[in-house]
Amino acid sequence: MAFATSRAEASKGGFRLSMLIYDTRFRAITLQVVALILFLLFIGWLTDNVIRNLDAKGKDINFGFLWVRAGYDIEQTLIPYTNDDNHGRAVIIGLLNTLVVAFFGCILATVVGVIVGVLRLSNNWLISRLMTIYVEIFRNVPLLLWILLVFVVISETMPAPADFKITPAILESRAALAGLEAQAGGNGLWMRIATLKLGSLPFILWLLAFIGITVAAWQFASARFQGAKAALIAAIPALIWVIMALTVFSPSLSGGPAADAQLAEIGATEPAASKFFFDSIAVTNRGTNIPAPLLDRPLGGTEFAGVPVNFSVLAVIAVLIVSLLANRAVVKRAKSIQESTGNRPTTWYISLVILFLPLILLLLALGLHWEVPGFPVNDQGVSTGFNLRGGIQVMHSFTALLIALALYTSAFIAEIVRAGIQAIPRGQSEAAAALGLRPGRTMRLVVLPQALRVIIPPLISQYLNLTKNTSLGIAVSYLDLRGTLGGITLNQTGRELEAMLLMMLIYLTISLIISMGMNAFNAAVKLKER
Amino acid sequence: MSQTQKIMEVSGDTAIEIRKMNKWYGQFHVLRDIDLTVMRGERIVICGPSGSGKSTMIRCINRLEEHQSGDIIVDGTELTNDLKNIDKVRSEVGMVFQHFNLFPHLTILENCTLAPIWVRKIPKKQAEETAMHFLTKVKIPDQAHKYPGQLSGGQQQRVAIARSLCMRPRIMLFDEPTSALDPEMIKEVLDTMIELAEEGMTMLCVTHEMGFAQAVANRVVFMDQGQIVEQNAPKEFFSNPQSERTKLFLSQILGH
Amino acid sequence: MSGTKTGASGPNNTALWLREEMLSPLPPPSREAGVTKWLRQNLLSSPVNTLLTFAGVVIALWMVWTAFPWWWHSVWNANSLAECRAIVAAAGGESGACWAVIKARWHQFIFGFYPPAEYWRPVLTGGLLFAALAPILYWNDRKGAHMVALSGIATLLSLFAISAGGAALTASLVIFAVIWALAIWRPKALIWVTGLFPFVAVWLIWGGSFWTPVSQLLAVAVGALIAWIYLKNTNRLLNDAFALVIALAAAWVAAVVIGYSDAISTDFFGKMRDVTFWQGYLSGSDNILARLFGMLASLVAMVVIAGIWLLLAVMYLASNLLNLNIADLGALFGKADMPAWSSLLSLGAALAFALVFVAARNRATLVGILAGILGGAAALGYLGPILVSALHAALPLTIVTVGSNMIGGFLLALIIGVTAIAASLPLGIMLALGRRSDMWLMKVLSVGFIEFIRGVPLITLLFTASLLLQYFLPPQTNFDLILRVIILAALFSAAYLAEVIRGGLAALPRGQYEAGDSLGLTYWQAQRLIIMPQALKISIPGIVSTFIGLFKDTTLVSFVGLLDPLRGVTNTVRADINWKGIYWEPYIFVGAIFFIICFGMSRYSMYLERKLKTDHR
Ligand SMILES: Nc1ncnc2c1ncn2[C@@H]1O[C@H](COP(=O)(O)OP(=O)(O)O)[C@@H](O)[C@H]1O
Ligand SMILES: [Mg+2]
Repeated sequence: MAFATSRAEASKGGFRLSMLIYDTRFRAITLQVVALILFLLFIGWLTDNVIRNLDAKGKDINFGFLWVRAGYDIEQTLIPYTNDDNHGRAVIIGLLNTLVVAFFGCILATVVGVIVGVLRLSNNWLISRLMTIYVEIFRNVPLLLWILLVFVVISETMPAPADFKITPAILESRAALAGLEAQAGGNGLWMRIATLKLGSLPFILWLLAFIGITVAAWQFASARFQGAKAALIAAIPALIWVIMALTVFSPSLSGGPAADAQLAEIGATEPAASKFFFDSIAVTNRGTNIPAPLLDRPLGGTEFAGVPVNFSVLAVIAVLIVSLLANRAVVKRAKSIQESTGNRPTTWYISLVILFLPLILLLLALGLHWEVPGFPVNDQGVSTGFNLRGGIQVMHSFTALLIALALYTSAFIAEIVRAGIQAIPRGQSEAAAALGLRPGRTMRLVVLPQALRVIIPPLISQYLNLTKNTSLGIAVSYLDLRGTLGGITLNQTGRELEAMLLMMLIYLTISLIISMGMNAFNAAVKLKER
Repeated sequence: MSQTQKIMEVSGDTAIEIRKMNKWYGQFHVLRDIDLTVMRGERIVICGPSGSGKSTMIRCINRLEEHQSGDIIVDGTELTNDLKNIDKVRSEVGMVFQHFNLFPHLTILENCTLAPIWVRKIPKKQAEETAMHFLTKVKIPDQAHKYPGQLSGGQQQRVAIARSLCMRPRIMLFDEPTSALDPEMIKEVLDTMIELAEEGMTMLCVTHEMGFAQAVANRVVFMDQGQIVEQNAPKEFFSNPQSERTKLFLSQILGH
Repeated sequence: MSGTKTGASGPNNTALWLREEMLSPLPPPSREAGVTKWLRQNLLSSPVNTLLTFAGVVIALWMVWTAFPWWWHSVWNANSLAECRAIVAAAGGESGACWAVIKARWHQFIFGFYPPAEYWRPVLTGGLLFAALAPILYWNDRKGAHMVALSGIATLLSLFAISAGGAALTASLVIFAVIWALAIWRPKALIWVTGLFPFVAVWLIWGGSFWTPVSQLLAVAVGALIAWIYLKNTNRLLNDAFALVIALAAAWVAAVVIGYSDAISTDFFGKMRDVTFWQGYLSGSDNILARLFGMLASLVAMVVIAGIWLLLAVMYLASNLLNLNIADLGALFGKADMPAWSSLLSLGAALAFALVFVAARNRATLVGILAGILGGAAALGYLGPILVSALHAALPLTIVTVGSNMIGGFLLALIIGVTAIAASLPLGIMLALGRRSDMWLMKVLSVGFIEFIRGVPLITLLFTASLLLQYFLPPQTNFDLILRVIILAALFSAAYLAEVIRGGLAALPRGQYEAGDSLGLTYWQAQRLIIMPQALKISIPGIVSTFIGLFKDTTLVSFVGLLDPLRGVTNTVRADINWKGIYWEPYIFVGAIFFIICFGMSRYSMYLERKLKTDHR
């Protein structure tokens, strides 16, 4: 070993080998070179193992499988796909499924999370406690449990499609009931009032809601008006509530002994299950059937690089973009008017018109209508066939994954929102109040701009988590990227190495794109500070 | 300026009238039977031991805190739950805080124009001119486009004063404006305040700066345990305190 | 009124206004007191608040009203779901909870398929875990002894509950009595229990000869002894001898490694020619995307390979430039047939020898630690088996071996969770330091690792553990799936921890670093004594929530075929013909246990924050 030292000394003069370790100038370099060598050796070792293992198994590294016929079906696809398409397309379908859940999940989680987070800060004792319970329950129990639970509950408790059928017996009993109501006068309002079941839960809840609305209306009115006027104004919502409850909701409230007897006499029956939301959404044990948008006069479409392009959808998007731009111009104009005159013109109704009218007109022009899922009926109105038809069937795996992801993530988002708002010192809103700004303006002009800087970075990392967590869809057989590329394709082709590497690469790309967005945001708001 | 001159200087009408005002934090009786009348143009210095309720009292004047009994009438407007009255009072009364409370996400200029634009509905240009006027007055016009974080404490406090002045208030409240500052910065803030006083602004100032009190105050109000214990002209107050509590307090703050 | 307005009238009372007697505090006005005030302030303070309150009441009431009958009609004794339903119906209920399923299968939820006769082992391990945690969770705190006592009592009670044998009970009693006595009289010594725990725990859970953990402990002791002797020794001669031995070992390792990497690269380039790495896609399709993708992938592969190759080439070139062609030295390592490589070998070995010799002569701590580890490993590898078989022959102390495939339920979740948590903290700290390091390479490697791990879902990493690891390890290597999962889980949470700790490090004022430097501390001393304690303190909430996340994520191991409590066990139970169709009860049971553990952890972190804050004052 002496020769290395002596030669080095001879050539560089004054250099001693120990300087490589104990001289601050060289130490870092030595360490890094050693680390680099070790790292590269490690990579080399891994690669060598891979090659030898592949050799032993008689395999190679080949991504050609992506262009081989897939041969399996995917139930939910955003773009056309059949089992004759190749694995590559199946992978893209999976990726799109991942992105769809992630997209809607993020929106839902944000909405719920922001509401819960803000309510948690409210000085309402009951509400803040309830929200605390919500947050603690959702974030302290594994996400997988929520996914499984939601999935099992909706697929095991929901009615079978056949329960939605309308039979001749049902039609008869409906007719008889209508007769009975007509006999009781008008639309049967008095009968409903007379038959209220006072001890039932719906009635009590309805009564509580009624009291709440009345008290709130009274508080609202008495702060602004006096005497009879206040009383009158306070009574309006309560009155509306009573009428609404009696006309719309009371079928569930009614059913006192007298009415029960009468109904039994008629032999009243209804389908075992009914659809929600104005009779348009049916949740069965197979899936959720929602209305499908249909166009009378579609604009047609074409195909580009294997991806279908729908001109009607493009037109809607174009109109939306133009509306948004127009709305921005309106807001900008309002701002410049405010700057020059001091008064900001009211623009919300103009915005409303600009944002929605063109879209509505376009949809009318295209002839939009909804195809509501349901049983086909014959001319007597009796259901035929065995299954719900029409509309779009949303898979329960999708629904369960979406709901569970959204609720689970919303608990974290709620905490982020709460912490973000609490991070703004009270002095800020006090100073704004002392300057005469109303609470709403204080929130918008002073607190939120500051809170958002605290909120957005962790919020985006929650979006990232949600996106990665979509891979848990495997638990309910949701065919996302992991289910296609990392699941069926991998098992069918036996290309574990290639499939896993490709899958990781795709996830990594998504993550990097999201975190690049976050870094850009951070850089933008940081600039303002200094 | 002699004692009598100082008192005579104030005009006849009252700016603030507080009558038998009481406030509780939960069970804690923090302000007890406060009676205080402030004339227009009068400068009042409030002092007293920490926790005696000074901040709470002046925060009641612009409704940052709600009182539970008694009356507070500011500029002829009584403070009740009525939002309109509260808005009116707040736009008439400016306030400067111990910790400045500038908005860190806005430039100095934006800090000063925010309220005039949104509350007074003044055109932006005009608001900016006013802001520059007052920033010049507090001697920091060249910092207008910086952010609060880039300024020293004394500069920030002067911006806070300018920000309040931009609303053209008729009354100014100061809550220990210099106690978070280093000694060399205290002077620049006090100078600004003295200038303001000389222009005849009605001022209520919580401070323990005795030099400032001697120089500009018409009256010194001494508070302890949530009540006003003694009021007097500054000279008398310092040279001849009447109550035992006042004497004790003065000996403590002048002692060191 | 108790004040006087005297104006300037009185001759000796010159005050404008003077209060003569102080007012005593009064209670707030009655309408502002008691329940009404509380209601007004907390529930009905504004119209919006009123609406919210009533909405809250309606929701809460609705939930209680719908859930209450179900809980009320709980059935605890039944043999099947049908029987449960019959009992509920007989009691006049519409629906009722069937907790009988938990009663019948609780042992599977807790232990998986662990042999029932051996349940005492995991129970005792669990109890010991808490005793081992005591000195960490409550250092300098009497609560440590309480915790030991509590966990001892809980263990004994649990042992009774599972009707464990008398021997297990007595043994546990004795063990806990000893630990408790230690906690009372020598609280500082309790940390030794923590040190022993991992060895004992592995033995208790997987079983086998008692001498295995003993020999492992001996190996650790040997390693520690070597390091200690080396680092404490002041004799120059002995030190030089030590350095010589270590440096020779280093040279030998370097030679072997270089020889091996030579083999890799020759092999490698040969292989690369045959491998259809890029030809694959090109022939696979005429799709343009496919071509692009193929080219990209091969580019990445080539860069990595080129890096290794370049490095070897530089060393080769350097050795030629220095004109060192000592083939004989290469022959020492069996490489005489390749003159170029042999000179490379000799240079590398010589360099390693020289560097390590210099460092070792100066008693670098790192060298000491490495020497200790190597010595310990050698002791374990060569002496361990001999020792175990000898001791076993003399005194066969053995408990039944339990395979990893039998371990499941919360036992599995806790094994994975606790081990991965313990392993991820030091790893996370190293990664955080690496990310903030001034050294470019350390930084790049740390950032790359952290971002990679954080960029992919845990599931893909677990699949890597179960599917891909066999490709990346030498052929025929095969080790326990639980261990593989633990390693991946630890790496996963280490990356998240690194980010949390980096936040804590960034929050420290610059002055703290400078203070460390100015005191003349080395980098590691400053980190250990000044920086890390503070940074970790700041990061406690983040660290604990990472731990909570990791513990919740242990449920994902079911996807690689392990029997986690949530999917593994629950599905087994739900597949049973007797309990088909049950879902709320098992999920509520499993969820409740997770909730208790995770919620407990987050409460503990709050306790810790408060305690550290008060410590600070
Ligand atoms: N928001 C609050 N809630 C409860 N007590 C308070 C609150 N603010 C102030 N106090 C109490 O009221 C008393 C007076 O406070 P303050 O007016 O700030 O005193 P000063 O400004 O004279 O030092 C103190 O004892 C303080 O603890
Ligand atoms: Mg104060």
